[in-house]
Amino acid sequence: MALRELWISFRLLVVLGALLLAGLPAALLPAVMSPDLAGAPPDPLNWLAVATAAAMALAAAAAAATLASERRRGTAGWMASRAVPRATIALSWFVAFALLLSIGLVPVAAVAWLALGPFLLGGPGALVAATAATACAGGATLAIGLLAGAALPRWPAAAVAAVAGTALLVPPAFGASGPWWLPADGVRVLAELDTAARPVADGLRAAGVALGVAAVVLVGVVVIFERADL
Amino acid sequence: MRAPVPPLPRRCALTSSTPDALWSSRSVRLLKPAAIEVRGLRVASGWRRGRHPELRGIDLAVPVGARLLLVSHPEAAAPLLLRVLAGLVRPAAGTVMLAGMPRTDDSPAGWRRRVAHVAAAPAIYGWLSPVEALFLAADLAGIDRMDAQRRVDGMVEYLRLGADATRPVSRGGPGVLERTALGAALLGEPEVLLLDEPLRALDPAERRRLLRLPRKRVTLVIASRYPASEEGIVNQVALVRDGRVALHAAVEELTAAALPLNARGIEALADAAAS
Repeated sequence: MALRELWISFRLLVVLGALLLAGLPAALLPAVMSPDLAGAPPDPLNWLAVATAAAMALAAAAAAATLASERRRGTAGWMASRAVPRATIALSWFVAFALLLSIGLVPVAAVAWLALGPFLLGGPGALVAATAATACAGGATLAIGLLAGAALPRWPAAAVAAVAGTALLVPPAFGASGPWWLPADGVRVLAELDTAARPVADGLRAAGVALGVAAVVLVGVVVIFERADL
Repeated sequence: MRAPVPPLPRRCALTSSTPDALWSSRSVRLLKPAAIEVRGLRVASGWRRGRHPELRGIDLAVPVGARLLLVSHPEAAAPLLLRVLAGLVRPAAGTVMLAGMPRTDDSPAGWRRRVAHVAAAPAIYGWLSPVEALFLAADLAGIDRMDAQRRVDGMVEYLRLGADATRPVSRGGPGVLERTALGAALLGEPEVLLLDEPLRALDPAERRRLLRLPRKRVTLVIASRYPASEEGIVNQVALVRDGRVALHAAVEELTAAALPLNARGIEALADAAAS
């Protein structure tokens, strides 16, 4: 139901399109920046990470707007009055957007491998780990978006989710690290894939932290949604 | 000579442990327990609820099988009460028993499977056809596929959807949407049916036919700003004024007092009862 609603409302196309566009820096920038790539660290990785982060922040804003719309329109209330638990309604939107995010990141990783494969230390396994960690960071941001959507009206929720998602995801793409950006460390792993000493271990650690943060935030989403007027 | 006034519903010993068979049996109609029992219900207004009115202490007992017209001043109070009963708004205080079950029991096997609510603006996804929406409602009500097919076919015929049954609801107009919403609510054979300004897009004759309802034992509550349009459908009337129940009486009392079934008549009866 959730995926069909996303398709009908064009949000699925917007989110997938943004993610596919995020792969373009990896494909286009080496040819634009310099024809001599031998030994040069590929800056396109940073831009790939930034574009992916921006696309995931957009997905979080879309998730926030969707949940707030479902509350305002009454469709969430229609489901709740049909004995569907409110937690199921909220979590089903998380699953739908997370699925969208995961599917959208596959072509991004494929384009990155095709364009930048020779420059990446650690082989395809490192790229897979970095992509998975990035997806988990996106999941944590989606959860923050749904938290805004459960509590706020549509446009404020989308704005808050976009700002929070951008603030969380974009700085790590430029190498920022620290406790504040721990949930988004997967984006930093992706950005530094060409220089990381242990990319697979870093990716797995970042993915675990992001999933933990997502789980905690989702508990908050469920609590707020249970108390919200539908 | 005044028409006999139905006795006020008394508290009944039936609890949430009452088996379905007993609750649905004829003995329940003889015992006349309350299908809806509300005590001290309070809903606060606040910045989160915007301009929603307050409910300051609702005490209401609606017997099984009653057809209650709920009128309110301000007008938004009656729909708010229905939404509280449907579990869409959390009350600040008070207890609610629905079809013998406490509203605090939020399990799917609890009161929700016995209560159905239709909002004034039914919120069914516009890309669903009425048949798809009815099958979805059947699925959510836990009805098996074979039984669902039979019920949906019967409901499509009862609602007279015709060719609109397989087209998206958004293409059929407000009448199709409202019929579908009512059908989805009736599909699970609820014991308590809460309707907020139902079927306003339909012509009065067709509206009256649909609101007569096929199952006699359903307890119906209609929140309406146009009481006169519910004549012949309801047999009790309740007025919520300034957050409290100011009147709960049989429609015959209005007739006996030579008052019309409209807002003024109901207010006049409430003032007479208060004095």
